[in-house]
Amino acid sequence: MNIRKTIIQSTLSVLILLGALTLALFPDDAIEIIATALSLMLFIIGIRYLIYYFTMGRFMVGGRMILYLGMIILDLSIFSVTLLSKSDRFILLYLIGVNAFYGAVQLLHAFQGRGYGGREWRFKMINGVINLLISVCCIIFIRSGNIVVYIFAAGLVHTALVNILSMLRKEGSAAIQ
Amino acid sequence: MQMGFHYYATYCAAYLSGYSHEECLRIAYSAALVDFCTEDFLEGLSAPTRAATTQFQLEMADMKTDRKGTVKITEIWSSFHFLPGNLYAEVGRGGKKYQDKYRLICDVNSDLLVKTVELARGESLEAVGIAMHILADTWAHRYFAGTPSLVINNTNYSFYERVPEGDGYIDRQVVFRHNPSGKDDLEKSVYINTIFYTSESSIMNLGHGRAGHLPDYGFAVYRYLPAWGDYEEILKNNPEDFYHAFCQMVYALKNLKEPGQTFEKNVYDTESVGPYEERVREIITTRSLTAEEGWKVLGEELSGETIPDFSQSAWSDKYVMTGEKESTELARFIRAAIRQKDMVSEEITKSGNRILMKSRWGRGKNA
Repeated sequence: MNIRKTIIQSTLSVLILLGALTLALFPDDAIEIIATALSLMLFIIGIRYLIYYFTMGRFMVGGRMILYLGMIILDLSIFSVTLLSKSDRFILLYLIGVNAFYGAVQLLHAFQGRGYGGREWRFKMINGVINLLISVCCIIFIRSGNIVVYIFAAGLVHTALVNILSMLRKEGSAAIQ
Repeated sequence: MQMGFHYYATYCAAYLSGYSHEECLRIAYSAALVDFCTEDFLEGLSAPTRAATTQFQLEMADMKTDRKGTVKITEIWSSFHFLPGNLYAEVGRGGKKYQDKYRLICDVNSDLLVKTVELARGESLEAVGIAMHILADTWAHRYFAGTPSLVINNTNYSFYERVPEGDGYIDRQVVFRHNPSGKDDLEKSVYINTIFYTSESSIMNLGHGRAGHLPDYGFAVYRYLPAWGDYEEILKNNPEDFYHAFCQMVYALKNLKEPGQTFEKNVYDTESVGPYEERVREIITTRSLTAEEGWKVLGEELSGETIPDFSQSAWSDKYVMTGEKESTELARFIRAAIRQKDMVSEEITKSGNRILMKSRWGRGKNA
């Protein structure tokens, strides 16, 4: 991971932790702020993918995948913005959905890693299971007032910690002779 | 390239070129050391780390691929393992950043190869060994760049190994696995590679990491779609390329021995290798992870001497113990490595390529 990515990851982790704290302290108002922040984040990521595609990726075999990825993420960010005018519960459901999706992706990566005989799949497996469990708990307690918000805040703390742990881990690579 | 080629095949080539057993050992040892001389190794000897010729897995894992890190990585891998084929290539597409990366793609018989061999002329045998490593690697590593780049070095599922079956051949799809501690399964065409990572400058996208060790194996014949190739397939015939590498090494070594000569591109000493052609081709095409045994036996038959196994500490012990370090083999190796790195870095920068610029905008002190 390069310095720029380390700075981005660190900032993101701190923001997620702040979001969790705000959510726990002001459960009634914080959901909209978090949804806005999420939309903005997805927007930036999507735009970055698109810039990379148009400047370099389009000359690469299979580079169109980067274009599709950028478009999907950008689309997701626009979709998130449209939800801001809906009720808090609707936004919460959306956030729970995003969390569950992230957990499912982690699980898929873990299964793939285990198939390859790698050693990092356990970390991803645990991370994915926790994310899915948090989403399930949120759905169970969705009608229980602020409890669902606190559970979701706990999920955010978990995500921030995983981000920090990921930064400290080393990337493995195959040596070149 | 495999250790067997850099050490034992270089010894064989040097012997066929007329060097004595002791001289052959020095050249071969130097050629092999290029794959072991890391910054950590040099730091342990209190030697200048600028002379690092490679990086191990752990060093790379710690390496940041920011501008400074990319400069260091590119200097090492482009100078010693992926010598750029044409720094002034007409790319005809993409912006400056893309073109700079494209122009670092390694290829054989380049102007830089001539400069590399000429740099070793009149210098120590250690310098000659380094040049032979670089020359040999251009044949194995051609089509990949010695800088982290997704758009240049990526590979995809369209990757087939041509393996003998019955009286003919079949193209078997290569299965790539990402497991740094795993081993390649040559029988099933299962190879270890780096994981697909969408970040352009990830260390996963350095050199032929995405194609695993396949380019290093002399027996490998494979076809694939290089990321930079505009959907044009490449058929890489390593047995043929490695034979050319061997013949070119013999030519270069003879050429360096003779006074008043100049190294020329596209010249191969097939005459000197001719009597051993069948044997050499057989060794190259043997499906083995290291390819050491065949070359070692051939080398010992040629010279009638025993070739000791390669040991990384063979020169470093003397370097540490002696008071006059400058006269040791390792000191000569270090000097030659720094000269080579400086030369390639200067050529890359001189071509207008900004990859080795420390400043994003192409200003500031060059690396």
